[in-house]
Amino acid sequence: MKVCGPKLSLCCLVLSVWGIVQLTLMGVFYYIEAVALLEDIPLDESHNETTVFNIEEFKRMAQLGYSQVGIESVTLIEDAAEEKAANGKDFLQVTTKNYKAIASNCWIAATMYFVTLLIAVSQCVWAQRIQRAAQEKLEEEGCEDTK
Amino acid sequence: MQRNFAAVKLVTNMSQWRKIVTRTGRRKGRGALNLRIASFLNNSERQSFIRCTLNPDVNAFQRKFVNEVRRCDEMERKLRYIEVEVHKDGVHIPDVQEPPRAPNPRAIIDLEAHLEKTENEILELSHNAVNLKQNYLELTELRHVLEKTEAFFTEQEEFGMESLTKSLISDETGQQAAARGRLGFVAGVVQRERVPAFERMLWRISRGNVFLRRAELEKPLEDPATGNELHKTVFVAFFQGEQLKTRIKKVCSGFHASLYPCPPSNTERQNMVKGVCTRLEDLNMVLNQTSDHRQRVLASVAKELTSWTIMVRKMKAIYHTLNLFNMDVTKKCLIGECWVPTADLPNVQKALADGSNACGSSIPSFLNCIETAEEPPTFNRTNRFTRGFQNLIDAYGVASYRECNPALYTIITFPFLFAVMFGDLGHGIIMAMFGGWMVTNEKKLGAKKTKNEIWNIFFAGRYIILLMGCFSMYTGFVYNDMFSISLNVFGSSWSIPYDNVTMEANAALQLDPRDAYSKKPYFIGIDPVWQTADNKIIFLNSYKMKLSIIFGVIHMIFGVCMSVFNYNFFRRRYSIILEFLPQLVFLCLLFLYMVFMMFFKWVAYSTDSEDEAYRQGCAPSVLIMFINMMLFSKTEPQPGCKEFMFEGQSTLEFAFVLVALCCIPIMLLGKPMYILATKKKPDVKEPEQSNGNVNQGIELQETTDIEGQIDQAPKSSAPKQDEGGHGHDEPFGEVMIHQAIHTIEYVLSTISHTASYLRLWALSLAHAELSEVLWSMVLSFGLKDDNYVGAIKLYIAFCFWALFTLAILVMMEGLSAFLHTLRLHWYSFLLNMHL
Repeated sequence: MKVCGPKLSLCCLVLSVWGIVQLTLMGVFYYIEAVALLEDIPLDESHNETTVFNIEEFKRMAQLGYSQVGIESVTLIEDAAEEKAANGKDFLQVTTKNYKAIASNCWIAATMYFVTLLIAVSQCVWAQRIQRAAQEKLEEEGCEDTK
Repeated sequence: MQRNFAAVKLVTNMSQWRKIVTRTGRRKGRGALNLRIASFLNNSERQSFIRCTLNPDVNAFQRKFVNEVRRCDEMERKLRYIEVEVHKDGVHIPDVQEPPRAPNPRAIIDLEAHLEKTENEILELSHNAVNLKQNYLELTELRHVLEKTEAFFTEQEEFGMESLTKSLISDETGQQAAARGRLGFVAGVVQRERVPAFERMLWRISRGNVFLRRAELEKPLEDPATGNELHKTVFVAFFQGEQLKTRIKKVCSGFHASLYPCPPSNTERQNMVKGVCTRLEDLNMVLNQTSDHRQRVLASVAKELTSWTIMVRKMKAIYHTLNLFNMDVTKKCLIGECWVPTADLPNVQKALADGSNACGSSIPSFLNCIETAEEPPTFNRTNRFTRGFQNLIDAYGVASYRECNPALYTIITFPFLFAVMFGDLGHGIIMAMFGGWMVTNEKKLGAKKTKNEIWNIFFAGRYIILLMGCFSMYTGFVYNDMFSISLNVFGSSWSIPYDNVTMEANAALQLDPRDAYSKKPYFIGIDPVWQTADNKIIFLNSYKMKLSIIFGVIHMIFGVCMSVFNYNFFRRRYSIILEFLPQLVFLCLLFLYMVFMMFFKWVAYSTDSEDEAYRQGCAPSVLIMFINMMLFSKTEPQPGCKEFMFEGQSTLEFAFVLVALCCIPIMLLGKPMYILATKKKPDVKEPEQSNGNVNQGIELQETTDIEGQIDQAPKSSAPKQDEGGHGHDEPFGEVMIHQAIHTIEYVLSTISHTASYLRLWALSLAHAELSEVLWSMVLSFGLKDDNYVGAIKLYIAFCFWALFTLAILVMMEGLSAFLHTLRLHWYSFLLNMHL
């Protein structure tokens, strides 16, 4: 079945080979959680910032309150720090999860490009067959003419 | 085919020599020699030549083989005509596997006769075909007229039956019309676009007394002569009176309308239609047979067409070359002169011997070397690898004979400077793969002759592209940049010294090298940690800017040093001391010193330095230091820091500037003074230096065109050298002016060229930023989703990203980097070298 011409199928062929190679590698890099790719994954930045803001605010307010009361308690602040650490752990977990998710996305996209590659190859073969048939026909005509 | 007789064989070689002669490329080899080639022809072959050369119609001013050239021209014309006809019929022209040899004179006559016959045949065929088609057209038109008018008449008849008073037609009996005063009609066809004008004209000449009916032909007809499509309209004009008829006929002929007889009675018309149809069928058969025959003739011609064309072209080239030969006084031999690379002399001699053997001549052709004082033309032997680079250099200017050839160094410097601007591992791989593909499939791709200019340019520069790709991969690796992503291959030497709590609390933290840096630099290239840093660009800018200045200064010094070879070769050793040395000293003391300061700053200043003055905060700006050095000014250092990098720097700088300034008067006055001093000595110049007599020592007839032509080649490349070399002949004032211009140009250009090398940094920065923007704007679009929709988005985003990467980053950026490299080589490197 003919879908696209020889030029387009060649273009798709090159593109899909490139896609397979690069996306597979990118998948591997995401899987091993490469830092260079950190910027590209969906980060829960709002969560991070709001936590910081809240805790700072909370600390400031607490200090204000304590100074007014006249006693100083460290325990509350320590609690806040613990909470923050828990948040940090949470953040790390989410990031790891995202890394894996995108790694699998990359591999899925690579598989899609593999399908594209199969289609492009079949189209190329098709186009070549047609071309060869045309050439043979032309040569036959030439022979007949000479006869 | 057998080898041809001596002259032709010799001439086929001659045509190659001519190429060498007319080529004003740079030369190589130990002095090209002036060749004189004489070919004695034995009797039988000579006749074919003598017959033409002694033709009484050819006067002395014409070339000897002008008739042959004319015959070749005529044959070429015929071949062109045949080719056009072949293309018109869409017959495939097969390529020849092996190019045929040039035919010998007897074969030429055969070929000529054959061509003549073929041309006549095709001419006759096409003439007949046109005639037949004309007939066919007329018959079709007639048939259409009859068929269409049928409709009008029946319509009119019906109408006429109903209201007899308004009947305009001559009906079947014709009596009614006759009684009403002879209503006549004219039928025919006219071109569709002329119909409105035609109708209006008829209306005007008859004052509205003509009734015109028309119907368009749905199918376009074919113009017999040109084969174009014609749209025509059938018309019938009804009128009254004989006078009107003649007028209408005149109008018809004026509008190129063809009129056809149309019988008024219905039965007659039907009979006529039948007759026309049978005739059409017959004609169709004949036409088919003719076109079959034509097809067969053309197909048989098409097979030979390419080889004939090559043969005729070769023949023409041979006669053109023979025209450049001189006839001996005895008219028995031909003599030619040319330049031949010394290394090729045995080949030429072998070719001459082969030719003589092949024709069985008793006296062989021979070759003599002539002594001459003339400047030989430049010739650089290139292979398919070096040709591209040589072309880049030759595009700037062709050096004179045996001047040093910078193309060799360009093979490395050109791709390297390109890669400094194009540094990206991924893009480098793409480019290298493209170049490698062209190089490995060289033969297959080269055999494919295409008119696509862009492809031809790429293909001619395939080795340059391959090298540029490989070098870009290297610089990309050093910049640690692959599609704007860094690779952590050897393990970053930076670590994070902060604990989780600190990191949670701060949006951005600065890493102090004291704690974060492991004291072992990253193995090669830029540490990948910089990719995630906010101040990445600030760091890279300073790094790349310094790199480009370092490369620039080294490149320029290299260019200046190259000029020593030229001075040495042209026996102007005084220029080495009076020009080259001051130039080099000037460049080194100012700009190489700046490079030294960069390295010193990199080495001396460090975070964990013992001395407070060599800590990070104290590192001075190299540019400010350089400006201060030139202007003898000062900047106050920060508290705790020193103004200078090392002891005695200010004295050293002062001395450097003074010495550099001293170089300028030497550059300006040295050479003119030297020339003035040597001029006062008594002249012991050789009596005649320029363009010696080529004919010295050998008895031959007077100089003719050939020498004139050969002389022009060296002359065109000579003047460059003349500027300096023949300095004695110029008046002192002119020498002074030349030298002043050169000096000012050099001094200014050192500054401007150093700045000009900053383009290495600018383009590299632009390239890196563009690829980063493309990644974060396009590809990231597909990476922001953690669910499976993201995969489809990624599939689409990658497609666009790949296309943009190819089109913008590899093609456009590559082209711009190429042009900038070319500019750096032409102006900053070659200019220094040839000054």
